[in-house]
Amino acid sequence: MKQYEAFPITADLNRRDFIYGGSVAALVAIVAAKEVAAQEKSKPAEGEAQKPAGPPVKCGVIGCGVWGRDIINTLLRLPNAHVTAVCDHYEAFLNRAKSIAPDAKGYADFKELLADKNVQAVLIATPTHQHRAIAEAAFKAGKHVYCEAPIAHTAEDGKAIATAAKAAPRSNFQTGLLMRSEPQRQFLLPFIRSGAAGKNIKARAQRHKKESWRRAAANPEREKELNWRLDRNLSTGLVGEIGIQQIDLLSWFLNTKPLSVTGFGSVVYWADGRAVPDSITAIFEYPGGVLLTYEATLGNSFDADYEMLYGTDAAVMVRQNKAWMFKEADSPLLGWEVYARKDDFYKETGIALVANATKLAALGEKPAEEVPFTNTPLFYALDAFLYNSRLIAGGVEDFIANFGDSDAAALRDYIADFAKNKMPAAGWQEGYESLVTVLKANEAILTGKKLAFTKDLFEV
Amino acid sequence: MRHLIILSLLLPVLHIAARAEVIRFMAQPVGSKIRVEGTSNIHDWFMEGGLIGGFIEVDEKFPVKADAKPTLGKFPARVDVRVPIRSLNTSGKAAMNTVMQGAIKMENHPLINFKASELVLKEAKDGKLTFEAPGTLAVAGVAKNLLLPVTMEYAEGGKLKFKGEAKVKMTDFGIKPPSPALALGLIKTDDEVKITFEWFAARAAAK
Repeated sequence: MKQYEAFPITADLNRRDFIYGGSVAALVAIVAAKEVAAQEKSKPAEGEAQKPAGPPVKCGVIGCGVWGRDIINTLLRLPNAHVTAVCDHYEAFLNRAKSIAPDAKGYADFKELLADKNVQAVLIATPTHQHRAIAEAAFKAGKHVYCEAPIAHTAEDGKAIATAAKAAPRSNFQTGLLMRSEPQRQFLLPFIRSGAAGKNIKARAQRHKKESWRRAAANPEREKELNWRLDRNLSTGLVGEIGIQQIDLLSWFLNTKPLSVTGFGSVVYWADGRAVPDSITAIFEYPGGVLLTYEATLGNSFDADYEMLYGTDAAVMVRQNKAWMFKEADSPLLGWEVYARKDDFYKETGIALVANATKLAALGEKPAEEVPFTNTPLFYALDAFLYNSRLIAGGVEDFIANFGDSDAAALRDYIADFAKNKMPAAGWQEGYESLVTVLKANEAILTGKKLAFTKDLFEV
Repeated sequence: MRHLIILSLLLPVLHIAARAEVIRFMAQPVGSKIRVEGTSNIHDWFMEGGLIGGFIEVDEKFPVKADAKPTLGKFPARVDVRVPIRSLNTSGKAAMNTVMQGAIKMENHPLINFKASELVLKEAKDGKLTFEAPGTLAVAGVAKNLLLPVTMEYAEGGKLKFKGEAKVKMTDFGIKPPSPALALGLIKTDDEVKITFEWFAARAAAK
């Protein structure tokens, strides 16, 4: 079984080279690799899902639009999942979902799906404003809950979901902040947090994609329902519906919460009567004067999406499943970068930050093979959800089998401690904090104001 | 009338049964912990958990209270302690959990179980009683005799706290020491592991 691997030594460095060559740099590289590998050893195998013993988790997917069907397709690839039910009140979507998962039972009403004993976990992929009612009912039904991000379209709804999740220790809750489970980002986290790029100066992320967001429907009612993202009352805008992923990621890397946000937005290209801006910029201010600039547009696709973190010693760029470091001329030599693969970016040289690159080198096998993470972030997020759901379910089952069901406090404490061993994933706290961050940003974009985040805003 | 005769015949038997009172202490959900430590060619590893179920039954001669003045020697007891394997998490978390659960054959044998039918008091000093528990340890479907040294202390709320340590070999239980390809490559775990535990039990309410 392959394993996430540690550090970016992509040259032909191996134990033999070290022993016979007596290279100090090689020693540094191996030590560096070991240190990071020690933090990374909990990760699942690249390209393989975690396979704890036991039957697959019986999943019900609620909301079978494009994203819901992506979820179904991904679940079908995961050995820990069994899609037993799908739900959508729109018949055409439900039929499409059933054609993907023909064994699944189809429901038009989510309440009927929640009453199905053959469903252990629900995955909510409906429009954002419908999440609350479904999530609360799912917790009451004792299901594990995966709720797409943003978890809600208002802070009130988001807090209600987070509160319900917090009060349901027997249910595993995960929100769809995909980057929290994505292995390349997981690999980068200790690297960035360790200060390898120096003191954080600023961050930037963008998402450029030329697409309308408006979708055609058979009748005006359906069109209104389908185009909820273009309705200011229901939509969290570009910054919320899409930007939440990258903004959450960079806040996580920076290990802090924003103090204020200033926003700008306008309808530049898709002037079809919509009131939700198609091009936005939001500038978040973090402690220490660190600024995060987030840009998104539906009018141009150049340079797609990526995240940048600028430190005093280096800048780090993350693009999909790859990352590079761009060193400052006066930054200290870390050692391993001598052997790392280099890629040219116009006038700059990027040092590849590649997980999985050192294992073979460290073991003395040639050539040192670079294996990027090829699965989608959704794959890793759902893999974590399934693993964690089974972990929690097993913990609850074992506790009750040994001590009964009467001491709710002891059960809650036991599961809280036991759940420390979950695979990395975003829970209710991350889901709520990211929600209020983007809601405030969307408000700033729509009003053109600078708005402050108060501490209590993030509390559940 | 016939019922009365039967009852009068049974009375002496019931009286004896009542004299040989069985006192049951049940596992408590809070405070217990178990840790399995091992070594490998790369680094040390461990599995640990906080769930130890089961019970211990003793008679009225057993020193269940702190002011007891026990004599050294054998005490009849029924000890049945169990640890669900999936409650144990390894130092390697998800990936290593999967490896260890597979090695211990969790799917077919989900519990680690220790049973004993007596406790031999070897020393009683400063509120701490040192016993030997000759019993059987069952792991992965293989039961082996084990002389388990255990100390017992009186904890808050009338609870008993048992603490012990044992070294066992995985191969004695038919477990092949795992050698997963994790982290820096092939990890070869060593055969011997050390098990340490603290187990809290409280007197069960009389029925």
